[in-house]
Amino acid sequence: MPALLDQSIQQLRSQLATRSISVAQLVQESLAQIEKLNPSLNAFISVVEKAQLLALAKNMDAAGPNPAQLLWGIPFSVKDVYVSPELPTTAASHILENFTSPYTSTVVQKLRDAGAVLIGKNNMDAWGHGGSNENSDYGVCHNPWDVDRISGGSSGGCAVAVSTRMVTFAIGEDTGGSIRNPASMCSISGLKVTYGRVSRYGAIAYASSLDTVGPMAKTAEDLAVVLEVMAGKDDHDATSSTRVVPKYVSLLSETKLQEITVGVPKEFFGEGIDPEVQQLVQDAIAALKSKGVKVIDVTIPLLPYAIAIYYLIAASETSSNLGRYDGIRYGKDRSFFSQESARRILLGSYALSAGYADKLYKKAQRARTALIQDYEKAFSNCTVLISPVVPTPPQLIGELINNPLQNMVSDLLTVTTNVVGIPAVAIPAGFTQAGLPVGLQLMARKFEEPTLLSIAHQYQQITDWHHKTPPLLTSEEKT
Amino acid sequence: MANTQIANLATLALIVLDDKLEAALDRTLPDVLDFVEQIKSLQLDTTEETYRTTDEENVWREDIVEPSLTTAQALSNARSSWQGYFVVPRILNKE
Repeated sequence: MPALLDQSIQQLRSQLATRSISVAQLVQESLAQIEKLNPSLNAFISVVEKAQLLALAKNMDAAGPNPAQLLWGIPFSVKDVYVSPELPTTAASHILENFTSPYTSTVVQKLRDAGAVLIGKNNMDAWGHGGSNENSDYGVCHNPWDVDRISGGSSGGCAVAVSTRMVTFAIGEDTGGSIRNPASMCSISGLKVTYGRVSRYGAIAYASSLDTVGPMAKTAEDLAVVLEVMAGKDDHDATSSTRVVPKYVSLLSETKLQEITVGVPKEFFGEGIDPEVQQLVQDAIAALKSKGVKVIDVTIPLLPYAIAIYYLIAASETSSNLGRYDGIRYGKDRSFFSQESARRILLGSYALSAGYADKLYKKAQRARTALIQDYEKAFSNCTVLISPVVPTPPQLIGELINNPLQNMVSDLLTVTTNVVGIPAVAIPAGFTQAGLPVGLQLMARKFEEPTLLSIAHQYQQITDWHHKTPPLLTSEEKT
Repeated sequence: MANTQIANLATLALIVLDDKLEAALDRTLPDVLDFVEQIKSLQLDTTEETYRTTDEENVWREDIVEPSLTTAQALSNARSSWQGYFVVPRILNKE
């Protein structure tokens, strides 16, 4: 068990500040953990060279910590969609196998400016197309809680890296659940931000009206620290919000649970949701109730259409965005698209084509309006909504990728928040009898990340699911 | 959905169909299309479309030159370049 990387960002920061630990120690622990576990889990597509990292750490230790840099010395990784020049950025596709970006994405730049140390780039479903990390041209990513099972996706590698303490935090990307799904399946915390809260400049685009850049870490507190650094207006991203970035960390204990009403949307607990998953989320609701939270029933009537709405918008936008991969200015040619990606591109092209655009693409955009209204109505009586993240515990590798429809439907509980642009956080809520992780999701109105993180943080004060680590982290010490 | 429709769609989307991919898409794409077509049953004639959920509007900047990529940087990943140009395959008057 990596003793240092098992700790929170704030704990590491205070030890770094007093020089009782060094950046070099953190980097060495990170690299040692990757060396030990990555061959069997496949969480990383690329890792910065050891010599380079150690040289950086040495320079940082010599210069000493800068209190103004909120993440000074903290090792992190990013989903392989965030461009930066020192490693290739592949989006887990052979198309971009050797693509070296001439510029740095805003999120990586901001984290670097805050002193964080980039360790490597994580495995994912290619182009964000998937919820299982099986659609990767660089191999499947394995769930550390049961290596025969999926890590979830599309930010699977990020979730595995945090769950196994290879890094302190990771930056994922969530278009239809791609941060929350693997967070739930690997028992970590992940935040899908309000659309526009974090700049998408330098993030390889999947669906531009749905994509969000977000943190993944062990706790809501860690998410708050990272978000405070990442969020904010960026002149390079016209959709980024001009709203002031709150001090998320100091707001963590702000929300008074006795003043909170949690809405339970009945459609999120219907048929098709595994009974163990439902029970664990109900247990969480009971735990919150014991702290004075009021609970009411609400409804999102359009949920049964959520997959159709999401996939029509996402596929249409991705067919357009992926049109740029023509093998001329960068990358290999289009014959290198996987079956899943080809299917989404064709679905999108169909939905946008003459004769179908009104009935499919534009209809989905009208349905988006109706879905926004569903959520507004639900939020008129409550502060947050609560639900499971994924309908079932993590499936066996091979189950979803070979069944495209089942694969799509597993996104049901996460896609609506991307369509309407609201934030949602996924946090650990327990384990099935078989020991598989189950997460819960809290959703809030736009820009209410402080409320989400505060409730999540306070839930993590009265439960200890988020302290549990995959058995393989300690089992190797016994052999 | 007819197989010729998939082939035509692939031509429009510039998706390269080898036998294996074509067979897989023939097998799976029709079901996916049937599934998403459930959206047709929604009555939304008087509802406006929402294309984006950002609150920002009319985001402008001054029309002045700002730092950007050099020509060399822009060409650094090109399959083929010549004297500062990207070289593209011939599309007109092919022999």
